[in-house]
Amino acid sequence: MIFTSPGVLWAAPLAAIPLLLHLLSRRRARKVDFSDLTLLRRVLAQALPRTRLRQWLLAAARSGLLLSLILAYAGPVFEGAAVCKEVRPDGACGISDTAGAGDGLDLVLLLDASYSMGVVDRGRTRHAAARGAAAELLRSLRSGDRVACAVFTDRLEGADGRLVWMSPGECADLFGRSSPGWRGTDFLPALRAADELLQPSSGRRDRAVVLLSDGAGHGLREPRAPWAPGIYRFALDWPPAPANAAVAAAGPDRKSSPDKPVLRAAWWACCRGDSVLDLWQDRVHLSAGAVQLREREETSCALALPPAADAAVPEWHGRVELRPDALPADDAFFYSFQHARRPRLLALHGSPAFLKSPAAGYFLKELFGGAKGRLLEWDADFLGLERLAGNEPGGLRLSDYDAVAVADFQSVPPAAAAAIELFVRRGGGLWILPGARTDEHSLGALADWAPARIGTDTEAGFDRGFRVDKATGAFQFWRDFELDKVAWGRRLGLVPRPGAVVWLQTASGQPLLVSGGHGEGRVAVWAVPLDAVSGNLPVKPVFAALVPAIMSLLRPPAGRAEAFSLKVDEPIVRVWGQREAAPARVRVVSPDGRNTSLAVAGRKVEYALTQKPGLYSLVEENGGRSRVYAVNLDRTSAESDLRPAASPPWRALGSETLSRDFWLQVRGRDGRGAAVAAAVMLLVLEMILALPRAAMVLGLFLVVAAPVSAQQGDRFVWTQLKLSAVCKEIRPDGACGTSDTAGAGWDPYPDAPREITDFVGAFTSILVHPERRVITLKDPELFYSPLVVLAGREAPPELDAEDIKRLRGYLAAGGMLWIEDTSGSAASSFDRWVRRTLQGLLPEAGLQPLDNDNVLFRTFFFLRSAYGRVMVRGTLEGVPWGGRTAVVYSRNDLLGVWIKDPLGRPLLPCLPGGEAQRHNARKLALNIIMYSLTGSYKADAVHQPYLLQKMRSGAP
Amino acid sequence: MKYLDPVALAKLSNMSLGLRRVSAEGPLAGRHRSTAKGLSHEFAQHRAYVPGDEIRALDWKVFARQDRFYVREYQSENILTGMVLLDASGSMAFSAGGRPAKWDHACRLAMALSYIVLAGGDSVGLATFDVQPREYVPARATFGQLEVLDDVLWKCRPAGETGLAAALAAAALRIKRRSLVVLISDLLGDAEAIVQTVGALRAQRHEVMVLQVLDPEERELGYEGPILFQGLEDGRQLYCDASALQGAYREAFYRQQRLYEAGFNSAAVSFMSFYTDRAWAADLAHFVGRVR
Repeated sequence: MIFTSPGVLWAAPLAAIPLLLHLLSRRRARKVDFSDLTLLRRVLAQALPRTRLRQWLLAAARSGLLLSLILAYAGPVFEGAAVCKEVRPDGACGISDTAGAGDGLDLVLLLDASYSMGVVDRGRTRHAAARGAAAELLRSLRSGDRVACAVFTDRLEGADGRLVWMSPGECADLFGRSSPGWRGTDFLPALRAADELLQPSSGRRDRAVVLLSDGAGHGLREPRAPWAPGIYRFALDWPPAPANAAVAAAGPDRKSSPDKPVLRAAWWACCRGDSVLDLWQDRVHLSAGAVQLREREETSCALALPPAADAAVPEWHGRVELRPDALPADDAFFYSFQHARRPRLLALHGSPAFLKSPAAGYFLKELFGGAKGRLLEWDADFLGLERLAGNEPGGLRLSDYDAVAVADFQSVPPAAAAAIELFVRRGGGLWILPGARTDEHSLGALADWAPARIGTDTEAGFDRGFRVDKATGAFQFWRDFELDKVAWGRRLGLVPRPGAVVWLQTASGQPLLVSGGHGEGRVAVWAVPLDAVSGNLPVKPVFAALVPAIMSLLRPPAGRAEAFSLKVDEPIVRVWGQREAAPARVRVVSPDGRNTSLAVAGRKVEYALTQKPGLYSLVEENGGRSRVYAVNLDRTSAESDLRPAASPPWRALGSETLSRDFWLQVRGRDGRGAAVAAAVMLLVLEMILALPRAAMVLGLFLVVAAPVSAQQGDRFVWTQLKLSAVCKEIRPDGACGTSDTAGAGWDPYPDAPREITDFVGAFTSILVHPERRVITLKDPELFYSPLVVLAGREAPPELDAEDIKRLRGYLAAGGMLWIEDTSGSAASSFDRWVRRTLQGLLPEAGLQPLDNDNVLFRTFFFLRSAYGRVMVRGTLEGVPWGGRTAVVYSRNDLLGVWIKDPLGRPLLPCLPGGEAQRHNARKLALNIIMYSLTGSYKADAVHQPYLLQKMRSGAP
Repeated sequence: MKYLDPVALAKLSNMSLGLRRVSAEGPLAGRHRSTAKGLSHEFAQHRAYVPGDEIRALDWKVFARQDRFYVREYQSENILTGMVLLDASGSMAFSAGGRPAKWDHACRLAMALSYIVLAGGDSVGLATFDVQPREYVPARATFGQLEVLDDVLWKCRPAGETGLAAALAAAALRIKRRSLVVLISDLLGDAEAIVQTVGALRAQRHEVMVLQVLDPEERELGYEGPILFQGLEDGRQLYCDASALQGAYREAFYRQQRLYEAGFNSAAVSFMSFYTDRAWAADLAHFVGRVR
């Protein structure tokens, strides 16, 4: 026999408690004074041996009951071992071989450590429950069994993809160290490894794999994969998972901008419901909003973020979180993203009056950042060209800018030209904007690589209108501008270099705007001064479109925000670009606060220890910049969907009863039923022994002989008929509205029955029941009463057909009806009712006077005639039916003679005969009862001596 | 009086034992027929004349018809002597469940019956006993006797063991003439001996009534679990599981009761059990009604 929970057997000594209590109970006896112990001693002497035996049996039964329950909880399994030859697709055994029983078991236990095992069921995680079940199963293994254990997620953890046999203790240690990780689930690698280990095992041994997992469908990515034959496969069966929701994603919204950052969060839920979405930035709680959860549907919303604290570094990081539910691990999603900073333009001018109206600088400054705010995406600084040429200290670095504009210049100093050339070659942009003093020599060294040189055909005089040569990019949709109304007084003739692109031309076809490349940079050359003196372009609407169009030629449009998001175990890789200064070392701060210093090699650094979800900060040492990476759980494996797999290749076993169910499936028959049956039998025995015998007999009597109980055993019960009131009107709700209480006088003398039964008990051998029984004709107890008494002064309600039928059936079955008219008058409504009813009840036998020699006058006492409280009629009437008098009708108020006052004196006088009449009336009542019980047996008088002797004892 | 208040007396005034038919012996003339022939208005029989009879007793009409001397005899009428025998053993002090003690109940019954007997013009006396007679009050036919009886009962306290049969036999020795003997006791003891003793009283032509006073607990033994009983009479203890013995005890009790009923019925002794949880006056009225 195997016990699936052998630890419960430690409770077996508890079974001795009843025996101990029995032994100790003698000391707890209560002391009671009692009058006389003679009878008690005699009873005890007779019952003592039996009582002691009963008590010991009782204690033994209770001990056995406890022992049986403990055995049942220990989960006994009777071995009827069989080796499985063929396992069905559901993991159960199809064909077994009983000849091979007893060669041991090869068992592989695979513990799921994916984060979905963190679901909380009944106060503990599924991982903990699975670990507990495995420990119990390990304890139930026997010496000939082998076991291999492993922890798996979407891979087999820490075993190089292979399994090895180990001792149950090592298995328990391995599982004891395990905890739910942060990876997803894939059953396939673990099951494959188990198959590889078990396939070489002997065919005479049982082979089984127990998947200690949630068995969710997200882990079974290949349900139809072929499995090795002859191996039991089991998984744990769980109660339906509670509702679960997860944040599926969080990142910058498409409409997000550095000025108006917007985060888009998406969530998924198994079931319909409501939750709250919390938005955190770093460690600051920003907002909380109610969200609707839709069943198996992903929903998203946009969340506004505050502006970046440092406008130069427009980055945001934090987390989006749903309120905790069944699986807390997937309720948070970390985000980190960065918008590119605003591009910067350095406008170098050669005229001190460049920024004053009507010079071009005035209009450009208004456009880039005037009093009305910035109209362009660019920030601009305006400096004199000499500042660059002089190379003055002041922190002016061209590398801080994305483009340089050289405007209104007469000449470009060589040093400045060299700096600009280097700037452009490294990827910067250059806009050459001529002024009134600019001529074909002004470009100087710039002319060597500019996309167009200024020719000699500088024109003077007003020219009007221009056209778009390439209507692409920023030059689309210019048709709405009145380009033909633009006029200028001076235009430089541009000679494009080969490869340069002409974007705008004058109406006569002369190039106005030419762009080209130099190194990694871009250069644009504009042909017309932009001051208001030289033309009207600065005051035309097209000016606001022209400038950004030119700027777009210098630098590509800024892209979308860049997100720094990774999955767990995905390394953080940071590569510095050519225009960035790469540090020598960086420091990585993980979510748990751990610092790791890393050396930068080849402008690249890599950090691989991203095993937990959270925000990882990569900080450049020596006060450099930092970047935050968001590491999240892998959401692509649908780990949040906890539905069990459909048609899995295993059989589910209860997580609470794994050990018992496992051995039942693999080895044999459940012994719990036998233990419980024994417990029930012992419980019944205990109840039989514990209950007082009288209570037990009463219980048996009620159960087995309930119908007979109406007869009150062998005792005579005074049974009185109650004809209830008749309902004359029934209300709509079914209740009685108006009732006829004519039948309420069914009980004219409530105390008479007690007196009569006392009298019968005192003067005859009939055992009487002290209480009377009141019934209706529809009462089933009617048929358990040999005599039914109907008394009244007024007419009761008419009997319906069913009442008539039942009463006739009662009389036909041997019952007797005693009708007593207590009105004491010669013509009463009750009398009329009786005659009318009997006519309908027994039409074949009419009511007739009973002769004085009727046996009814001799059944106990010898009487000559009828008596009663009054003498309305000198004889009784009756209905002879079936050879006997089935109905006896008295009109002399035979019940009235029994009524007494509280002091025991007769209450009503008997007229006209006085007490002698009362005495005879009592005798007549007894005779009627005796007749109902004995019929006409009063043919002999052998019992007379006994009766006379009894009468001498005090009979009246 | 301690045991009879005016309300009780009012109830008792309507009760009578109906002992008119009971013959009596004694020197005092009363309303009961005497077993001896004497002077009265009620003719008893004719008897043949023997020398020494008074001549005035001769029935001359019979002599005229039959020519033989006959003497007319008349029924003598005496008062009835009632003797209340009250059990004062320790068991009568028992009470349970807040009910009055059996002793108080029995005293009230004794006083009530004494009153009824006195109201009928008869005399009544009292004898208390345990293993042997204790108090004895000779019979008297005056209502002042009630005060005497009440005082005696008030001073008497139940104690000691019972030897009911022996005590009854001893008490019976004091009752010389034919009398009404009322035994009030719990009848806890050797039932057969008690019935035999009562039968002996009846055989002495006494009119005997037995009133058994019991507490319901003595009938039901309604205790649960292990109990250490201590007897009120002998002070001895008895350990038992009351729950286990309940059934057997009740059976034995009812068997004993049936023995009393059958024995007393066969000896033509009026018998009734009075329980302390019921009103004594109502039960007494019922008993008196049965006796009549």
